[in-house]
Amino acid sequence: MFKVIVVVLIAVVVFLLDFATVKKSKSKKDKKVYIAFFILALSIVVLHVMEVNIPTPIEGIKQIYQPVAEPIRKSLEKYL
Amino acid sequence: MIEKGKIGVRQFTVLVLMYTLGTAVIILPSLTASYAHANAWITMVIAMLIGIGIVFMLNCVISIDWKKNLFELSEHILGKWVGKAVSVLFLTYILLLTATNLRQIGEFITTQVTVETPIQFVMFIFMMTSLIGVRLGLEVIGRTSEIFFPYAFTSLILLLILVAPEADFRNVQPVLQEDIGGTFLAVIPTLTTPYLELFIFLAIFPYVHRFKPAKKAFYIGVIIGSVILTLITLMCLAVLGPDFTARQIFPSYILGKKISLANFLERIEILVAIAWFFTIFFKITLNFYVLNLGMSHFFNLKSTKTLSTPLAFIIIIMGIILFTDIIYYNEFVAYYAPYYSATIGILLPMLLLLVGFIRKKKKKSKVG
Repeated sequence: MFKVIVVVLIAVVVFLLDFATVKKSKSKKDKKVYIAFFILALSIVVLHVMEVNIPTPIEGIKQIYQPVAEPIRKSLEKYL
Repeated sequence: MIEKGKIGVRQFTVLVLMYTLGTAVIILPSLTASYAHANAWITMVIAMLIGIGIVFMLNCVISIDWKKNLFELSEHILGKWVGKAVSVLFLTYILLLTATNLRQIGEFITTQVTVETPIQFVMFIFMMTSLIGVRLGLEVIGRTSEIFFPYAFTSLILLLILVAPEADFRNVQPVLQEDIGGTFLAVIPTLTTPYLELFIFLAIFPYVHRFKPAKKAFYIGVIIGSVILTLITLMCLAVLGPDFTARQIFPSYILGKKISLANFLERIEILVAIAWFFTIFFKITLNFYVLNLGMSHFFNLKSTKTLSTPLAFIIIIMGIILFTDIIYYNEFVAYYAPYYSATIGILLPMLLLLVGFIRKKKKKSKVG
């Protein structure tokens, strides 16, 4: 729990420092998208700090390309 | 146009060259040597020829309308919604690519240089430098590349020269007698880094000062980079031997350890590390820059800088969670990454080229 509090505190500092540059652009859309992405980034960092297992997208890519990859993998492995 | 900066043709050449060398220079010799053994350098030459073909194709794509970058181009050619969908595919790939590159440099430093430092910290430091680069804009990245290029280039050339006395070319003989199938099949994983990643330069092209010399610069950068890659692979094979090269994760770094001049100049393997730090810094920065550019085009933002800080943190965490360990990474790079990269790096640009060509023809026939 201590780690999470530290991360959130650092995030607040980063937000205060960083949001000024976004504010300058004077576009509402910029601010909205920035805040959405900031919350996304913060939640990913907090999940990582709490040692939650986040599934890797690599597994998905492997599943998609399985039919193409498998035959070539077999013939490549012959030369190992 | 969101980005207002312009870079020169020479800066563009240097960026292409650095991009070709980054990551590939240190991991490719081991990957090719695993399957092609003593013929790994032939694999590199074949990959280079195919790579030049890919550059030709990319040059054709950007010739459709060179004032538009990759993301504008896909919306222009495929229409708003399909174009946005294609942009998402590009952006996901670039996000994963940046995270992978960051993980590679982290993995290298934590296994070879500072063993006790946590990988998160190394990745954080590297990402922060790239973040500063992206914040300052494309012009600054271009000028920095001009400053650091001599150091990276000289240390690679020095490595090749200094290690030459140790070379034993019996290691690469007989040429093309054994493992011929492996030599040609190994081209598939070899193409992934760097040739199938070159499409990100489609997003940089519109910001180069003059278009025609930039097309030539693209070829020159890729060719010089590939020649250096081939020479380093050849040296790895000749000095370390094919089996030892295949067993190492970072064979060019081990190659640097072999330098020994008159029992005086020794243990200067950090030469390779310097070259690699610079090249991979520009690789990460360019990828990250294009990611920011694409994101701001996708959401119609006012500036490329808006999303840079949150994206930097997302990339750091992505780099950690993508691969559980280096074995998993090697398996992915050798057997699965080529097809994913080919979809994004060849198939989608081809689609753009084809649809763009048909549209141009239709317009002409309407006018006629």
